[in-house]
Amino acid sequence: MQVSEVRLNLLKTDTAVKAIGSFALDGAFAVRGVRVMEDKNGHNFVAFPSREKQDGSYEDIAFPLSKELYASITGAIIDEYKQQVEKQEQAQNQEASQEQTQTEAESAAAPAPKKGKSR
Amino acid sequence: MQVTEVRLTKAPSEDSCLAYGSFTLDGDFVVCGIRVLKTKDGNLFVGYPSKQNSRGEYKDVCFPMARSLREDISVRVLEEYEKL
Repeated sequence: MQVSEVRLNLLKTDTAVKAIGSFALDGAFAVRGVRVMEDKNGHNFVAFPSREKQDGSYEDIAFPLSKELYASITGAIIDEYKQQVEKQEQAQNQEASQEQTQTEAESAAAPAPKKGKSR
Repeated sequence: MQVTEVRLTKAPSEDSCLAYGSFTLDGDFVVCGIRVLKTKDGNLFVGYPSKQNSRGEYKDVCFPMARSLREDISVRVLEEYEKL
């Protein structure tokens, strides 16, 4: 069994949940509500969908049994998460540099017409 | 992908939910909280685990995407239900 698709949405929060998404197994079985978490030491791990039982304890709804499948699912999800975080950071850096050049251009262009008008 | 194990328990009440339980795919991936449900016409079908979202709608947490797998799961689960 292989992970065929991973979709993630990054969350802009300061909580332990960093992203929520879904994955597909062999293109035939979909699991939604998978969370990428971060622990106190900054390590990422994957939380499988769970529900609260009547006695207050939590029970996983869908999860792998073998170590191999667990490793391949969490590996695929965390890889996708890291890629998306990198993309986001790149986009933010680009925006920041664009804003800088814009403000520079504006400050350079602004004095010129004033001079023209005054004359 | 094959269904390798189905576990069902009969539901205590006499409403649309007849049984609940879990199944295993390829002996490796477990799905808990499936239900055997009955429509008003008396047809049986398999209900997948769902969650209520913030809008109050119920959305399935996990479900088969391929028709062949959906049929395979429902056949195996309903077979197991007949044995109860």
